[in-house]
Amino acid sequence: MDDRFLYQLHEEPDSEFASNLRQMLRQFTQNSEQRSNTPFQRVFTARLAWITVAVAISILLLTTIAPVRAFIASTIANIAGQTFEMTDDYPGDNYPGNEIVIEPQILSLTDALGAFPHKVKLPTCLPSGYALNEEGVRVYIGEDAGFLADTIEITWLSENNGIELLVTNRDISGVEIVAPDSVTEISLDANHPAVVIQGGWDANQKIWSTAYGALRLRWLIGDLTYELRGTDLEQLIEIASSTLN
Amino acid sequence: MDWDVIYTSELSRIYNYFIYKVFDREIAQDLTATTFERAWKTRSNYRVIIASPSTWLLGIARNVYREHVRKNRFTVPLLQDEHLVSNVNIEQSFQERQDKEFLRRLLLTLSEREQDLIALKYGAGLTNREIAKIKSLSESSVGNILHRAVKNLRKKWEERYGR
Repeated sequence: MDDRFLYQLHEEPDSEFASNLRQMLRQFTQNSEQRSNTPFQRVFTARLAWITVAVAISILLLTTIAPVRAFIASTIANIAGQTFEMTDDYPGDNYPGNEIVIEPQILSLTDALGAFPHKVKLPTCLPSGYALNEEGVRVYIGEDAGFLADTIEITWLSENNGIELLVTNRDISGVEIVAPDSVTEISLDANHPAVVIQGGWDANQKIWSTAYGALRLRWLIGDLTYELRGTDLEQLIEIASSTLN
Repeated sequence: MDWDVIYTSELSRIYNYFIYKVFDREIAQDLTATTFERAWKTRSNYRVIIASPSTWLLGIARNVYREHVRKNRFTVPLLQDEHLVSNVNIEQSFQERQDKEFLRRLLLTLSEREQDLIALKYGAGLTNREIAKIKSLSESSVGNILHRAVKNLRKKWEERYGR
């Protein structure tokens, strides 16, 4: 396949930029080598002074600046191939005034699946009493969908509850910020690990909240990420497992 | 290990990886500089038996890019002409600028995963095998995803240019 057109953005770095960066890295190298050649006593004294200053600054930051405290208190964990940063500190709101509102296309299920550029494995098993909300299939495709592109959301409703399935081809390799102990790994079958996320950030209270019993169950099939949202974990696992048949 | 040689051989690769990710020369330069600074600071930890310099540097570059996205995750890049890679060199022909701009818009329609594979393949110039190692995918998966993405892009390209 002729793919030469894809090389058109390729360019050599600006020579001044390349030269300045090289110079800076050489300087860095020289400084490192000088440091390593310094007599032990001098290094020790200098390092001790730096360590003392660093410890003092750390204590100061730890006790006074919330984001720094949050960073230090957080841990990164890889669960079922997905990366989570776990912290008790509220990660913050969107920047006011800069929110991008992306409107989905509302289609019937048939039209939505036809428009979606990937083959979606729909669950074959749904709890009794739930029916597809035909008015509520939301599809994000095309240029207007921006960073939500290639996502479809399907909802099933019962008299009192709802179950939502989100399927996306978006890269989910980024870090998701959650509260400690809110994420657990389960297996749908031998080849399909999944994560269960319990609760979500409450923007009003600025805390992680499980008050509404919201659960998310997320797993991968091929290049697509599937996420079920509901309140009954056993129900969600049963539905998710039926997409693997 | 001659780090000056590594810098010379890898600068273009890292820079072009970022060009294909952010489509902005200034940001690509910033991210490239951050990648090399970070690499140079931690280079005593580098072991050639674990990864080639390219793989090691691209691993750092991908982390730098993730941090960049994370910092800017609630903003969508504005398509301002003065920041476009295609418009920086005023000696480029009008047609060439148009081609680059159209290609940039095509790439923005891809999923993040497809964009990343395209950046590693056409920006960083890696083979499918090298990409598979970096992305923890099988070589055939990389080939399939790239084939599908390139086919779609080529179709749209030909619809516009008929070539």
